[in-house]
Amino acid sequence: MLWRRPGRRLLNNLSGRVSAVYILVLVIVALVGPLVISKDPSQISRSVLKPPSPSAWFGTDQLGRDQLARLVDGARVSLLVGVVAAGMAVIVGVLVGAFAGFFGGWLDIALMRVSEFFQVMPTLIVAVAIVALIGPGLFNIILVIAMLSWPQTARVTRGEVLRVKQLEYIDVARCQGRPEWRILLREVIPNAIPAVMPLIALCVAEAILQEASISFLGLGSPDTISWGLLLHDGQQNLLRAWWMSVIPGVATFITVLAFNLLGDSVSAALNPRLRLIGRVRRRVKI
Amino acid sequence: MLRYGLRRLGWAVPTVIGIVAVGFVLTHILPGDPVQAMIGEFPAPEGYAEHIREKFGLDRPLPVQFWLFLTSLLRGDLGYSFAHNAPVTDIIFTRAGATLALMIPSLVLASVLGVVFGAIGARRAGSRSDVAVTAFTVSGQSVPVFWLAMMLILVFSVRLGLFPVTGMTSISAPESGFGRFTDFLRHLVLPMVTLTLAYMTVVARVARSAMIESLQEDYILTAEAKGLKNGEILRKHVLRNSLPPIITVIGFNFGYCLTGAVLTETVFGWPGIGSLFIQAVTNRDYPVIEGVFVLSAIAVVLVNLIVDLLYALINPKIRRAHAVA
Repeated sequence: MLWRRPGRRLLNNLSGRVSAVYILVLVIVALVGPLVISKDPSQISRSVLKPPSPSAWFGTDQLGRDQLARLVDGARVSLLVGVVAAGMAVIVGVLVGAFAGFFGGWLDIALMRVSEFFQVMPTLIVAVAIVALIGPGLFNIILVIAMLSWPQTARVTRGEVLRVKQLEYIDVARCQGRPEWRILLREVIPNAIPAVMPLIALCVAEAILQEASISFLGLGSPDTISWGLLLHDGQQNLLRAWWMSVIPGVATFITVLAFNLLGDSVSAALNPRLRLIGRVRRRVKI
Repeated sequence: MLRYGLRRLGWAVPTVIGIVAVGFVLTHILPGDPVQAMIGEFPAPEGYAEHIREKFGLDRPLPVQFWLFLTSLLRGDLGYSFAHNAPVTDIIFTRAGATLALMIPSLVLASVLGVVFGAIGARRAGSRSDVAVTAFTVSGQSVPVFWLAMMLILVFSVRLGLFPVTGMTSISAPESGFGRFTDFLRHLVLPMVTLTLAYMTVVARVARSAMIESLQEDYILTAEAKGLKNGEILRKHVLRNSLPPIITVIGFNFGYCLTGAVLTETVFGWPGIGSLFIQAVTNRDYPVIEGVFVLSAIAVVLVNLIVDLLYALINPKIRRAHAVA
């Protein structure tokens, strides 16, 4: 019931609808694609650096591997990194922000200082340095991205928790003698979550970009096919094989764009003020 | 104002120490010998490992080691790179010129164009020009900067042959004079356009939102009722009141410029700090990795400090609030 209106608003929004459909299709392709496409993404052949043709729709790479099969396989990894890293960042961010905002005092100061500290870190440089030191690997990359992405969620959650905890039903819960931790988990966090919803999609978009950047720099696992790795290979062959960089780049761009648009649409659906800004014609014509 | 500045500086110092601590921990908690990590995978002179061990007091407790590390840093000593056979500080300063030559014009251009685009969108929220600006900014934020760089190379260097593919100067360029300068400019165009596009979209998006909010305020109606011209309203009332978030995002861009430099310099083969960092990562040149990491994080903290001081300078409310507190 609580979600019916924002859900309808989201579906009424064209960019929200299109991006949601795209993401859904991408998830299906990532799950089913490798089963449908008969070609092995790691199979080396003699057809080296062949441009797109009916036999290889997206061409082949420097080792004669089918680019379409690699792109579909890479979609799995890029989506997995995006969703898992964003999921971890959101869970940590919500918990940190909720504890800081709800209990306040020294805990709030300490947690927010830690969050500020992580926010001033130059993300890519830190991520690259850590991955270089601890070694490549999907799990390491996910961990590093999540570790550097939670502060924004924490700050938004804290702000919302500060608002929610002032509401009357929290006082009612206290009067009923419920313990504080229960009020936090049952009343405060569920009511603060809607403010965090738009961040989830934005976090996924950011994580996909981060993973692509790390793999592009050659720090991803060479055995794990991701769009960043395809772009890394694409750059090595930029002057000889345009398709190797154009196609995975377009896929990354459209996917990140879809998550960003979805995040904006969720934000607009939940925030009446933002919706109005989109529609209002300024009363003063400048 | 002075008290506010000192208070902000008071916050910046522990943050910098924290960043140095992270850099320190990264090279010390990892499995293996930290001396080997400092030396990297390059042949060091005999006895150097012992010298390093003694210099950094690696046989002493960790807090003492951290103190020695911090004091070395204060003296500007970031260690020695065997990959380059030179002190890390010297290597970074040699490369800093190229990075600054690329970043400063890109960031200035991005800031100016971002505000102009934001104003174009905000003038009539919901109009076609606004939709175009919004589409441009969302797309700009979604495009991987390294891919944008690659596409610019494909179109303008490979297809049209207008600009060189990589590097900062041509081998055939004159040693000095105007010819050298124009050669440098030809190399600069594509990396600069890449970074300008990447950074201006963020500025434009924030500027648009801030200006739309300002335009809804009653003082705009009052300004118009007073008979002020549109340009004057935009300059004196809208822009001035939208400045805090715009300054924040411009400061953010300046603070994080090394992150953009890493990817752009890698694609364009630009010999700056960004490409130095990636070379260091590839070569496992730990002192350089640590040096660039610490310096880039300190740059972010310093820029944040400057932004906060600018905030207080342009907004008397902040100064007074802190003076009262």
